[in-house]
Amino acid sequence: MHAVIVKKKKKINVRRGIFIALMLAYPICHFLIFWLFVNINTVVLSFKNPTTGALGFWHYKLFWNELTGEFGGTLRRTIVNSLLMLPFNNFILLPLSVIAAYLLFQKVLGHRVFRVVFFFPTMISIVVLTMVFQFMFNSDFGPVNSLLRAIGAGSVIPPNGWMGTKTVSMGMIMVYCLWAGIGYNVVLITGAISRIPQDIFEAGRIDGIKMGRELWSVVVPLIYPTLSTLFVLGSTVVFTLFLQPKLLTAGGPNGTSQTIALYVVSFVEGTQLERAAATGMVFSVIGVPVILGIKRIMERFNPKCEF
Amino acid sequence: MRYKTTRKIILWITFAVFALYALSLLFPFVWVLLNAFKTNAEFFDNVWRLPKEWKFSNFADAFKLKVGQTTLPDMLVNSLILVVGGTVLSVFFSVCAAYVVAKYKFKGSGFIYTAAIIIMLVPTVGSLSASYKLMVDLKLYNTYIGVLLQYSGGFGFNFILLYGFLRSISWSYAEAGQIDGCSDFRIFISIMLPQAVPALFAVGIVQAIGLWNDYFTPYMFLRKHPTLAVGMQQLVSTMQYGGTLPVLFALMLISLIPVIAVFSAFQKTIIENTVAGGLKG
Repeated sequence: MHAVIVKKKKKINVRRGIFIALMLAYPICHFLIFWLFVNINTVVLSFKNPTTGALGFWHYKLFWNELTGEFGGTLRRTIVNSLLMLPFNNFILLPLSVIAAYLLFQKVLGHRVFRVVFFFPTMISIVVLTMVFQFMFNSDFGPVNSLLRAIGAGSVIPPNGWMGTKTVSMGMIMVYCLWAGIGYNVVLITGAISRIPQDIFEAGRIDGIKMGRELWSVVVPLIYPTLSTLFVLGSTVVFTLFLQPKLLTAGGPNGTSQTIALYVVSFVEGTQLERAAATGMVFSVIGVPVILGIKRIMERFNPKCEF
Repeated sequence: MRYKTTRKIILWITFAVFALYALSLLFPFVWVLLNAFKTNAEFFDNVWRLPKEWKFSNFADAFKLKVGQTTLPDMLVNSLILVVGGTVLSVFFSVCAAYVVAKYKFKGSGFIYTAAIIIMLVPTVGSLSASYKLMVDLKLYNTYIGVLLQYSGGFGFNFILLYGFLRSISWSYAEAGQIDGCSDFRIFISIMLPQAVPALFAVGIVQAIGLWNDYFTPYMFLRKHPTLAVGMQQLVSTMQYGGTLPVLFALMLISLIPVIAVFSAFQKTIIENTVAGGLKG
């Protein structure tokens, strides 16, 4: 009798194993090919000579020479542009989002409508969003310029247009990222705040704490897990941002709004795959530990309470 | 008492700032809408006035626009193939993976979830070159199947959302099924999946909108058959100088119709679903 049960159980376990394996088969194969193999092949490609197929450090040397050489201004500018995205995302965009989300949560007049409107850009294709943004700042017919002229501030319009002037092009990319990106953050953070139990706020209010104090000492610690994830994601943007500059300015003028990822993508588009791989490798080798390190540090500060 | 006044003032300032920002989001689309009904000459003459005559034919003209050999209806079909195929595949494989990881204990089940999150965060900058090479080597470059394969991964954001949802639904019905002798497969299909339908629907809508809007994957791997997003981008670059801009505006509006329709119908589901998980690493 006992042996029969054990045998039956074993049979169930084998069947269960088969079931689990079947359910995971495709996703794991997909991962192995489209992530693991692709990434390993990136390493291999980066050492390959495109004409002879021999392995060597050519593309790394090319990169180093460009970086340190006389004509490496664009590459150095590219790296600075990308690095600037970290403080921009984490110390401008994120705090602004938190403040806006907190205020939205205070049931400002029309908060329901605002929530939907703020979320609206998340639903729109980046192609359309960058297009309307460009139209607004267009030199021939853009409403922004006519508005500025109407209020007598026409002199602030950059000489070659907003997207075409060297000194402002990267700034415009950031303005776009703020304009198109803050809404999603605000809606997301408001969601996190609304999961905080109401009585915690009430306890604070009985003690008579003011809004600034409530935001900093109650809300921020309680939504910390969401904030730390946004912080880490905001840091990866250093290595991943490329569609916005590609569509808004094509990295121009003269590479002044180019970013690391756009630089790599442009090599792929020119089918210089090996060079793209090597350039990407340099930044991955620096980027991956930095991002994982930031994640670690953020977790260390976690006050360990969440809802 | 004095604090109450300060609070009120802060909230009014907030309202003003929010209203301005909301206006900045909506105004460009109203502007595009009004100018989509003008002739080119009228548009350049005065962008601010309402159209003298509402030129609905701009929308008909938009349907005649072409990128290479591909007409607008062709682009719509290309987009639809990728949206429908990509959504079905990615939601299906995500729910398969999320289900066993959330509901069964086996070697590596905890590891898979952690790995999925870390992989999403890790920036693999140069891997586009190897993906491109893989597509070319497998002769999948410029094919629908190639793009659909790229979309069909089971461990992305959908996995994490569905994992969170599946964990929260009760296992007791499944246990009852087990006692009745249902196989694991049967429990998944007839007991657990029906409970997950609302979540699958929500994830599917967000995924479909994302794929409809996706520009880069089809741009990189399906140049021969441009989708609406890719075709539109090419048309802007050519039409910005010397094209009929109001027709381009009409095209943009056409591309927005499905998204706005879906968003208005399921606005609550979409926002709740995006916000629900709260993005915790």
